[in-house]
Formats: sequence, C-alpha cells, structure tokens
Amino acid sequence: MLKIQIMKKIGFLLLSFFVVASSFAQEKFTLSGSMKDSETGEDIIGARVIVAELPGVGALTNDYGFYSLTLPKGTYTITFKSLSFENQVKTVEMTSNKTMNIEMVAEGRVFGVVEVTGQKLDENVTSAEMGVDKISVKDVENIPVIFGEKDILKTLQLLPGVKSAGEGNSGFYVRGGSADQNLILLDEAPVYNASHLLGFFSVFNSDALKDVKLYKGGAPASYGGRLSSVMDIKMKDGNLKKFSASGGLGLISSRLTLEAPIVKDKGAFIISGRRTYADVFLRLSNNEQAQNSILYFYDLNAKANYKLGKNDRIFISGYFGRDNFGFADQFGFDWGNATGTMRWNHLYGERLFGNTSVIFSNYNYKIKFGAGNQTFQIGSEIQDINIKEDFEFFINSNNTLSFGGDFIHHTFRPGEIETGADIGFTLNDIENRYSLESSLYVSNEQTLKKRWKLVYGLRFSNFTQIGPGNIFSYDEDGNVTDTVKYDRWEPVKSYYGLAPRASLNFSVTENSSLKASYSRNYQFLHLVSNSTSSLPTDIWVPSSNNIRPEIADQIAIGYFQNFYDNMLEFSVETYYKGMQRVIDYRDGAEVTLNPAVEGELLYGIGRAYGIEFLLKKRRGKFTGWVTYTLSRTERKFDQINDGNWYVARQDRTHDFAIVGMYNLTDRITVSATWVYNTGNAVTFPSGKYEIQGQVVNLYSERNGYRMPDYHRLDLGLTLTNKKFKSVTDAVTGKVTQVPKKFESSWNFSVYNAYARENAFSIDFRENAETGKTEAVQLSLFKIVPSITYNFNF
Amino acid sequence: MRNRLVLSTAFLGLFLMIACEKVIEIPLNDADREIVVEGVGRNFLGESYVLLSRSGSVYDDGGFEVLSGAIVKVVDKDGIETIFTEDPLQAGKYISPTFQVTPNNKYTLNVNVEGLAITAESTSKTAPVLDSLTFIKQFGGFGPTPGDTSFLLFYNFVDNVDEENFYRVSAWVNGVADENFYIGDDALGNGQLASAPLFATSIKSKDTVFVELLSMDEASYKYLLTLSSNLSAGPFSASPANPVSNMSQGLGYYSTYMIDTMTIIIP
Repeated sequence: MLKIQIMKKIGFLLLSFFVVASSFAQEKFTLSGSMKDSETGEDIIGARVIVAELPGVGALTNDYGFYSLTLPKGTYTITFKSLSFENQVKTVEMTSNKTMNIEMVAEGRVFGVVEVTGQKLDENVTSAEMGVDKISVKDVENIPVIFGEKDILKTLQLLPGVKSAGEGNSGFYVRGGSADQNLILLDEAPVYNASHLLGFFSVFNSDALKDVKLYKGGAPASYGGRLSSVMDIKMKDGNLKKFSASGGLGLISSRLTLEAPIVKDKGAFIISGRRTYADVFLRLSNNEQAQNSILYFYDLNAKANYKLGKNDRIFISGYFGRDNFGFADQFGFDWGNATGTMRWNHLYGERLFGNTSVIFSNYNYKIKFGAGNQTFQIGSEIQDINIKEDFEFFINSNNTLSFGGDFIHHTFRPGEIETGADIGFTLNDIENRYSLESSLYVSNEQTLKKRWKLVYGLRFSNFTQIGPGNIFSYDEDGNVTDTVKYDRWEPVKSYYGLAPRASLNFSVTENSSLKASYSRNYQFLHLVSNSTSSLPTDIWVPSSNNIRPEIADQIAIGYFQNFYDNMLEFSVETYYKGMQRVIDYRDGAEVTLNPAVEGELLYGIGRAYGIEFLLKKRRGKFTGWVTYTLSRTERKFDQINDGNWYVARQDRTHDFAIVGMYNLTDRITVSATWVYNTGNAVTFPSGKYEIQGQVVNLYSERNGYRMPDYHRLDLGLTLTNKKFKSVTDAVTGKVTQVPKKFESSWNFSVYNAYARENAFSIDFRENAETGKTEAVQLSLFKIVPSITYNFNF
Repeated sequence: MRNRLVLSTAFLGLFLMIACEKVIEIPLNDADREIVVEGVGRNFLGESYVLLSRSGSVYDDGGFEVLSGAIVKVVDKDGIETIFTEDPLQAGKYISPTFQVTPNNKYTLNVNVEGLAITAESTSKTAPVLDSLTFIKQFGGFGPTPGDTSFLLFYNFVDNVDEENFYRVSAWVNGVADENFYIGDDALGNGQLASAPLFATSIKSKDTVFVELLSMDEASYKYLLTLSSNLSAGPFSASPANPVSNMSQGLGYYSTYMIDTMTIIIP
C-alpha cells in the first residue's frame, strides 16, 4: 500500500515538472560546453556556472565536465567557478545557442593545500544529496595509513557511518550493511573483490584516480544492485596538454604513472602501475622456506580518451590486478580482478548529453596443489558483460532529467577442477550459473522557488536466472529435493523490483539546510563467505529459484550548516534502514566446491539505525574533521539465536574519528588521525566439553559479547622538496622564482603510534602446560613506521 | 577438501610475524551443565562404545565429570536389543563384547541417565574398501619451520556409485593417533577413484602408518564437519557455533561406522 502511494506521488511530481517545463513561452537559448583544467586537460566534475543577472540560476558540470544552461534571450555575465581554480568571468549575448569551452587555471599553487575534488564550497548545504561523502585525493596523500600505502578505502573509513571491516582492513561496512552490500564501481565496472592480501590493501591505486564518491544512502536512480552503498570511483583521463609522470617508492610497493596527449587537446592516455616487493625481501632471507615463498600483488590501470569531433568523445579504460601467493612449485594460489570500460559520449544538441558504455568485469581465483603431472587445481570465477545507456537532459535551469538503462549478462563458475595426468582420478566441475540483470531508470533534479530542491526518481529492475543447467530445489533443512534440467537461455526464475528514490533539500538560510531522503534498493548477487575477513575464495551467488533478492529501505533526515564563509562545515544525519531477506549461513556451511551451496544459506531480516555527526574545517593552515556515530545494527533469523534479534558482528555503538592536517610551512605538512570505537560483537563460549578426546567449546548466544574497545593514533609528516628555483636574469641581475619541473616529497608515517594492543581476535584454548583454558588475544600491528618517496614531473 | 583451513592458516602465518599474542581476562557467563554423549558403533566385535560425561565451565580445569550408572542400549532395525554395560576399568564408558555394526542397518541408541531419556539414530552404509596406500617423498615442507624430508601419504579407494557416501580417514603413526582427521563426501566424484593425501600428518622414513577409512551416514558427517569448524576456529573464522548434533537432547553424537583398515611401512 505504501509503495503504491509513493508511486502515485512520483507520478504526480513527474507530471508537475513536465507542466513546469512547458509553461515557459519566452524565447530561450542554451549555453553549453565543457570545463577543463588548463594544465592537464582533465575534465572538472561538479564545477559551477553562475549567472550574475539571475540569482539562483546556474548549472553544474557532469561527470564528463559538460554543462548546459538554458536562459532567456539577453546579455549575461557568467562566472565559472570551481574550488582550487581561479574564477573566470565571461559576458555572453544569448541571441542563439552557444558553446563555450572553458579552461580553468589552477589557483596559485604556492601556498596551502590544493584540493583536487571540484566540489563547490557550499555544495554540502545546497545540494539535495544526502549521505554522500567525497574524498579529496590530496587528503588521501596526507592522511597516515599502514605501511604508508595511501588508500582511498581506508580514508573513507574515517567518515561517519563507514566502518572498517577490521584492523588495517580495506573492507568496509556502511550504515549497518554487510561488506557485500557495497557496490564498488571503477569507471562504471563493478569490482567484485576490492582487496589484496586478505583485505589489508585495496585494489585502488590512488595515483590513477580522479574522483571518489560514496553514497551511504539515497543514491540516484542510475545506481542499483546493492543494499547499502555505492562507491563510484573515476579514473583520471590522462593529460591532454603534455607528458607527465608521477610515482613513488614505498616500504612494500612502488608506483609509476605516465600520462601524455595522443593528439594535443584531442586525446590522451594514462597508464599507472603498482607492485609490491615483499617477495624480493623474502628471497634475501637465509631461511630456505622464505626464499621459496611467492607473495606479491600488482595493479595496472590504463585509460585513453579521444575527441572525435565537437559532439563525440570516446574513452577506453581498464584495470587489471592480481595477487600471487605460493610455495616453490608445490602450492600456488592467485586471484584478481579485470575490468574494462568502453564509453562513447555524444551531444544530441545543446541540452541532451548521452553516454553509451560497454563494460566488462571479471574476478577469479585459482589454487594449485602439487607439481608436474601430480597436480590438483581448483578455480572459481564471476564475469559480467554489461551494456549501459545514460542520458542527461538539461530541460531548463530548474530541471535536469536523467534517464537510461542497462543490461548485464552474469556468468558464475563456482568450481572448475583440473587434475594432472598422474593424479589418477577426475572430479566433476560444479555447474556454471547464468543470469541476466536489466534496469531502466528516470530521475529528475528540480529547483522550486529557490528554497526547495528535489531529486526524485524511479528504478525498475529485472533479474532472471537462465539455463543451461540442472537447477536444484531445497527443503527447509537445505537438502536437495528436486532437480530440473534447463536449456540454454531458458528462464528459470525472474524477479522484478521497483525502487523509488527521493530526496529533498530545504534551505533554511543561505548557510543551512534541512534534508530528507528515502530510497529502496534491491540486491540480486550475494557474497557467500564463512570468514570474517575478505578471503579470495569467497564466492558470489546469484538470486535463483531458491535465493530471493535482498531488499533495503532507508529513510534519512539531516541538518547541514556552514559557518565562517564556508570554512567550517557541520552536519548531523539520522537514518533508519530496514532489510529483508538478508543472508547468513548454516553452521558449518561449506562454501568452496559445494554444488549445493544454496542449501547452506539462511534468510532473515535486519535493521540498522543511527545518528552521525560531522564537523569539518576545510580551509586554512589547519584542516581536518571530527566525526561521531551512534548506531545499532541487528539481524533476526529463525535458525540463529533461537529466532531472537541479535546484534550483527559489525555493530559498534560508538564510533569516533579525528583527522587533522596542519601546514607548518609551505613544505611541511603534519597530520594525525585518532579513531575510537566500541569493539565488534562476538560469540564467546559459555562452557566446554570433551569429544574424541578434544575439548570443544559450548556456545549459547550469537554475538552476545564484545571485543575490547578499539583505539589507535596514526601520525604522518610530509616534506615537500623546494618547488621553486631562483633564476638570475643575465641582463638585469634580477632574481626570479621559477617553478621546478620536478617535484618530490617524502612521506613519513607511524601507524598505531602509542602501540595499543587492539584485539584482532580472541581465542579460548587450553594452555599446553597447565591444561587450563585461557582467553588468548591476538593483536596484529604495533607501531608500524613507514617511509615513502613521491615524485612527479 | 579442507582447503579453507590450509589457506587461512598459511595467510595467518604471514601476519603472525608482526602480530603478538597475550592471555587476557574475560568474564564469561556460565551455560547450564549439559549431558554429553559420544556413541561410536564399529563393524568390529566389541569395539563399539558409548561415553557419558557432563559439560563444564570454560575456566574450570579439573577435567570433566563422567556419568556412571546409566542404562545404555542399542536396538537395530530388526528390533534386536544390545545392552551396553559400564566398563569396570573406565567410569562413564559403556561397552558390549557381543555388539558389532553390520552394513545397511539402522540403529537406535537409548541412554537413560539422571532421569533423562536420550535417543539417537544412525544408519550404517555398505563397507568401504581401501584399495591401496601410496606415498610421495617431499623435500622440505610447507609451514613456518623448514621441514626435513618427509612423506605425503595418499589413500586410494573407489567410491560406491550406488549410494551417497560420507567418509572419514584417521591415521595412527607408530601406534600414536594423529590428531588430524580428514573428512569428505562423494558429491563431486560419485563412483570415482578417490585419492587424496593426509596433508597434515607428518610421516618420516621407517614409520608404520595404520589407516582407517570410515563410511558413515550424513548426520554423522555433518557432526564431524561442524565439529571441525568449531575446533579450528581462528582469527578469520565466521561466528563459531555448536556442532550439529543428532542426539534428541544434550550434546554429542551417535555414529555407526563401516570401516576398512590398511597398514604401510615407509621404506
């Protein structure tokens, strides 16, 4: 009933805006174009176009730096604005449609921090978006992290509502959701396993990234498929002006990025690589064991773009990364993601911007035991091919309509088994599974009477499991009851989802606003894992005749205020999220090589609610933020905890983070972060007994205990080498400061500076000598210093 | 197929280099004391037994209380009843010199102890046949300390194509029981030759290794499977849980095994 009411309202809103759109009779023309960085030619995302004569009228550039603004006939003073760039003011006489491409010049790069995000100063207050976090790439560079490996995922964990999956881990939980409920997109391609080496490093090499946005709720209708969040990561496009290089040497890895124009101002490419070298050190060891160990990971990002004409531009981007782990020739284990995106931007006139994408994504792992002909190898894979179409229609200065759709073909290979010639037996592969996922969406961003801003939309999705395959049915206990054979492309089961989204912004004053949002999300793919960390062997299973899609509804209300000319930003948001058909596993579930893995799953409900505070200082010598989150996350399953509500593992009542960066001089930046959170909920034994001569723990309540509180201080220091050199003019003898072509910096950091022994796990086991059962706490990292050298030219 | 365990152990090894462990104080609630039944039926005369004990509190170190004076009997599918009597040499252990598990039978265990009537059912499968034991010689080993030359022992047998099978393999090296046990089912290789190594069992030259191949029903297998996740819980394990018991109440399991054995002396 509620759903129908909401739909009616949206129908009404859509109708009303069409009325608004057509009610103008005045003669009107459109000003459109692109905004770029004059130095690199990179598109500037989210930059502002302001019309002096018409207060409140303006436009923002889209993800490709494109803007479009429709104005009545007349002469206007247009200001082009973006944070960290000099404003540009142009006078335009609008007597016909006009194109104006702007190259923005970076603000004096001598003093202070240059923020890389193109976010406008008061966007947090003025936009209707809620629960959105943006991270400046520059912040990521200065914030200390473990092993000095700057990592966008770990920096995001310092924001309210985002929680780390564990010590030093790049996995994260958003507003009580589980780790698989985050949609992580790299240039539109989903990344199915975003971590290296058990989650201690993310797969994102921040040298290659341009813009990162995290939606904690209320994501626009163009996104879908995960319950909790969308993390939209965009790679740099490449330098359109000149060749440039940057890189770094770190404790465990080195990076190199090269960018250059293909044809100046028309096309460019970027290629960026990173590789760890722990294995190089292992080889130097005098331990034969260590010498024979293989352990490394690498990432490769590449992108090229080319302007075909005034109205067309193509982009090709790709990512390839892999972990390799093994021992001599007896054991090998490697895993990784590959993604590829081909995009074509086209302008269908001044007001309609379109983008067509063809997207590929693959994640797989292989494990090999034995050598020569005596090998046993297992592998698993998920692969997507996706076609996506997006349009933005700049109807008038008060309405921007987005619409489009996508079509994905998923292939799941849960278990491929190969045995060597001398093994003497073969095992059957686990059958592949196939599905189709498609969606259509429409969304409008509308300004009403200056004070109100609305974004409302609807996303319609279909998910269909298709053959070929032998499809099982299960009884309540997870036993196979029936098997039906399906042919190629034959539909097995379809699900439909109608997901309304709406958010609203009311400007209380010029510097403050109230926001509210509602969104519904469906999730058709589920990660099956029987580990608390992100293991490479975790597998994705699609919705099927047995697994229904997960659903989440989230409502949020927030108050946003900026002080001191937008220098200080404050916000408080509160949310409630209800989740249906969330997934857990039967006790002792087998994930690897189990053809009947669907029978191991349990379905329940979940709820999460909380309040998040953020206070941020954005300008000046001192920048940084303080966040506090008070929250609760619970689950309920018939088969777990006697069917009673219990707190989820990631439930942390209090969560604090303080991040500070201080520019001591032009060349020295110091930084510090301090985090504190309530320990994870955990299951501890409440008794013990003996079976087969071994002591077995007796458990009574799921997640009935807490790990000790977690807190940690990290410190960082960045020393930038001189950016200018003195040049004496031969004739006048005057000394001038000329910027150096080669810039470099040293970064020193200390992780866990006061050596807090935070509990990573607590085990109850018998002391071998006394026979007494003891609680043994394992702590991972105590004071980890690191040093990194970065350069660019 | 316990790859998961090997992998997480190997990974953990890497991080333990920088990690540290310490014993801490954690107050725990006490669960009610429960009765623990360990019922094992074997296809060799007089080797079947039932152990009765009581669970204790986590920090107790006085051993577990055994339960004497119980009435224990086993009834097969034809209604033939066998009484198990308490072993005069070991309190809490109930035995019968005349009982042995026969193939494709169904057994009901009845235990009356401290006013409680506990029952469990277990079905025996056809007898498995071990084909051979083979080995490969390894130089060095996989683990945190460099190993000497060792032997990786493989067991080989053909799975019964006509039934759904669940296996356990146990080994004794020079008469000492190996703590590791290996379990598996035939879901991926029904009717095939099964051959797999005892990868965690350390075997040296001149060792005598005695291997048992046990075939059991699904409930028994599920118990062992869930027991192994309970015992091998580590830093990366999911929420730990109690093993899935086939007893009507209390803790523990009742399994009736069909067993084949074989011995090898490593050269």
